[in-house]
Amino acid sequence: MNKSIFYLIFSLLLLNISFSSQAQTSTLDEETRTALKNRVKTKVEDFTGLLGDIVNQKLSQKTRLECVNTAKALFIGQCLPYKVEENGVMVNHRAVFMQTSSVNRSTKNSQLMSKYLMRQYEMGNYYQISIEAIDAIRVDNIYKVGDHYECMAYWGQRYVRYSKDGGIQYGDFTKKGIRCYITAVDVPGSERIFEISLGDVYALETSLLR
Amino acid sequence: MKNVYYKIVALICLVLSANMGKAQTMHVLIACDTNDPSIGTGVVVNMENLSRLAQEVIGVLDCESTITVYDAPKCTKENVMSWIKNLSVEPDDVVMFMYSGHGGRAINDNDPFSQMCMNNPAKQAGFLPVSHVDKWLEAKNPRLRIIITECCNSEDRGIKIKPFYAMAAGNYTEESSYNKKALRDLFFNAKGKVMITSSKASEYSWICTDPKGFGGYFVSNFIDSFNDAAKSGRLPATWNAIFNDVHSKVSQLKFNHDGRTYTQEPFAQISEKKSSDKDIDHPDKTKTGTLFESLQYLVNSNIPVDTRLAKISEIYNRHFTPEAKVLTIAANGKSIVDREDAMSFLKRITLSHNIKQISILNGDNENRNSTIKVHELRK
Repeated sequence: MNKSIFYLIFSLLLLNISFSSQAQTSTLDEETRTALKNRVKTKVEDFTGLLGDIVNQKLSQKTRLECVNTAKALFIGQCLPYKVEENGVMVNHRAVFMQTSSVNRSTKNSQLMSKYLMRQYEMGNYYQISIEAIDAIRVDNIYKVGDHYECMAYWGQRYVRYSKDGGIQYGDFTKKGIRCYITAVDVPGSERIFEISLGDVYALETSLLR
Repeated sequence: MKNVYYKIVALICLVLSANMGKAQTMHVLIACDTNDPSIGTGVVVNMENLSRLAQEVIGVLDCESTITVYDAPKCTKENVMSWIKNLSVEPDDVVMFMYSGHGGRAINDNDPFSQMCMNNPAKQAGFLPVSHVDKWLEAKNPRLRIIITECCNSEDRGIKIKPFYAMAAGNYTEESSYNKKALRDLFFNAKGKVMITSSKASEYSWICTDPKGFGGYFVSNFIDSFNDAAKSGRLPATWNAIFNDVHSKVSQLKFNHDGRTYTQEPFAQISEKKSSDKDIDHPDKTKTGTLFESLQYLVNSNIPVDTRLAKISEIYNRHFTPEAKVLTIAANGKSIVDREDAMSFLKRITLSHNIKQISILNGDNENRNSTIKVHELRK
């Protein structure tokens, strides 16, 4: 008898969870969902373009620095620690990070996005670097998390370091993933406004460039 | 021999000077009664959709253009007349006039087109007959004139037939998905007159007043049919094909209001002749006068990025108030998919490699804005 009650309660719980999940994903209609996915795609496109320009030494230092600042503005918290409301409570979050990888390392490194972008601008001891997105950006389904929405976007990145004589010192291809945040603001007497911010960037898979 | 040489040079100069300043230009005026308490919210949607359509066509054709948008209270007969009077039209130019608002007709008026109520439906002396706009534009002798109106064409005892009068003598009154050849056929390879209105004589025109809606039933279907000709190729690129399609769609609709059922049948007079493919002179995109020109300047990749970045402060101060916001509208014309500080927006579009044009759906071209709505035409 106890077992039967247990299984009944367990089944009811599962049913409730599945209904809740449906409710969480069903608040955006299909047309809005498609529009937001396209917008996420264009924002990630803009980011990958800016990244390529940050390391492009044919551009002036002033322009490259402007690219750093513009790229920072695309991210949640503008690459600083930020607060997000979750279940009615304001929760502190650390600043956005960038995960990088190399075929020469077994581990992946994570660093603050703001630091990563400045490091690319400064270029360290490297003579010339090229970073470009070479795959079409793919955006996964948008899902509700607390009072906002999130989704993941993916693209392929080609990273090459050149020596002074123009030869390739190092080159890899990395599949990248980025978390994106979508908040909805209901303005009284007006339309609903969505704001999209980029989040953490992950290095998913890295292979040597052939 | 010298005499012959000088005569030849003079002749070449004469021919060159005759051809200078002959860039084909598309002149667009959009007049919308956006403040009307009953239909204003739907008219705002129409205005944004029509503005975007015009800007995208101009962007894809990459032609010289003038775009003027009169929302209420600028939506008046006097302003439209003044615009036409001051319009400088070359023989190869295209002129497009679009109106959304209230309309009506006098009883026993033989004119199949309505009178536009402009921004004051209570003041019939201020109504402007669509056919008058047609005749004034005809007098300007453009290559092609296009007049699209969404307004009622129902009879009203309070409306009087307006006599036509000529302007006073001496006063001249996204790459996207578009098929460029189709647009050229519709605008610059066509000649004649296109006049389309949303309902025939004695009928009302219907509009969705939800600010999140699609605007007028005629304008929204017109844009769909236009896109079927200019983008998907489902329709041939002719104004007759576009009109027949929108006529077929709108005529089938039924509108229930106060216990009665109404229908609405668009009406047109179209005389279009095709001519051979003409070259289009491309506009000077290095000027930054109006808001539209300034934004196109910033996305013009033919200008060095350092030069464009250096212009941002000046553009920001001229066109935006402090803490101004830019709202980005999606391709569906409704969803607001982004909100940015104006300065962040200007920098982002300047540095982006992927933007062909910024269409302004809602914004003052001349004065400072606290909020503008835009749509990005991406490469």
